[in-house]
Amino acid sequence: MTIAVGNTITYNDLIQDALTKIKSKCANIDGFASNVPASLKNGSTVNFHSQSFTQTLVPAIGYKSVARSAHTSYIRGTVNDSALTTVSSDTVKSELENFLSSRGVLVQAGTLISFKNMMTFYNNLASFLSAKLIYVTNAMNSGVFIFYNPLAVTYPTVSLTSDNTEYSSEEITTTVTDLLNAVNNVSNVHYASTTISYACSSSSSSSSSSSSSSSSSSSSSSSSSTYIVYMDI
Amino acid sequence: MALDLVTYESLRNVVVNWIKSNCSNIVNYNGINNSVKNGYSYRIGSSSSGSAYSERANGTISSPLTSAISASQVDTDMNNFWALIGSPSGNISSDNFYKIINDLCCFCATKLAFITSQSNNSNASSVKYLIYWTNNNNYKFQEVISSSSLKLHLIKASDVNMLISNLINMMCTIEGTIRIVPCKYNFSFG
Repeated sequence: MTIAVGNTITYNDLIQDALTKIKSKCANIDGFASNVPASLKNGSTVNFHSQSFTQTLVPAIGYKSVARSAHTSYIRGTVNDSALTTVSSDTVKSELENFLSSRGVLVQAGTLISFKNMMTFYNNLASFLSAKLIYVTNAMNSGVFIFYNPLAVTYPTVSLTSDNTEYSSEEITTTVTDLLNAVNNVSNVHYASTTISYACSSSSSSSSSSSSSSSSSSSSSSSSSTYIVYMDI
Repeated sequence: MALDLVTYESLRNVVVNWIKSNCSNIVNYNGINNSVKNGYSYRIGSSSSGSAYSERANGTISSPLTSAISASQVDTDMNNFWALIGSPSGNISSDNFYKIINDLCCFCATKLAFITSQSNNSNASSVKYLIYWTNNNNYKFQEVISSSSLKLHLIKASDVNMLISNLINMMCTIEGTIRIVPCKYNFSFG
């Protein structure tokens, strides 16, 4: 948004600018952006790491050496996070308008905005963004994406609400503190809720190692080549 | 307007004091969960066949979070940043008000970062912290403030454009994904 000589600024200008910016920044509005990895989408199962092992003889203390079958081991993650879904742009527009209305801003949509009210507007917008925009990531090298969180319904309060044009020293301190609280709200960071598991897949070609494979965790998946091994954290 | 009652130093102190009392690696480094500290390792799972053989799956964190930061480091860093923006002092003029807000947001966007990880296989074990990142000096949108060009009113279109530009920078402070500190599991089998 640029302002030329003679132009004026209304709340509508700021609201439309905010909506455009939100839509352009979020990777889950009207579908996922093409570069969002599966590890940040609800319901996905992703292999974070895998390694193939060839058949080996493993010495066992007090026993004969045993053959370990060829297999591939995996470290997997299953994303179970209902915030990591898509949302429509109509929903975003509706939620922003409802929020601003609840803060007494939208009712003034067509009116000119004063210097101080612009600051108040942006503080309220920061409050909205600090709840609805989340930095989605995990510790599995998935990158960082901004998502619009349709589940967020609690917004930080904004102390400065007066609509007169005077600015006191105390109010400016309040304004800056409000901004700091909103901008640095750690709850904006959203760790993609992920269940990690360890699994082995036996190779079908390892027929010579039948004795070892049958004794390991055969009970969990006798009809499948894949089984989940116990966790021992 | 009553902006002439406010000084640059007073706003600077608000920010510095806020940082000192809110960043986890300043307030209580030992209280930070180990899963976001460099070198943290845990066993994801293992397989075995009696005592015959065992395979272990491990995850080890690499992270820039290695030690506590002293509160005085914030003063040092802010002093350096203050010089970078022209060492403004005294009363704030209305046109410079948004500049100083912009600059303070720039400092926060650079020096304050979020770090997050999970400590075991469970969904419920993720943690996240606001930390002070003293080694990051890559300021993105600071503006030099000239205290001598004191104007008390926004009267030109260029003034308003400047104001809008600064406000958008402040929004970018919120939106910037650069503030997530890389914290990554390296997985291995052993």
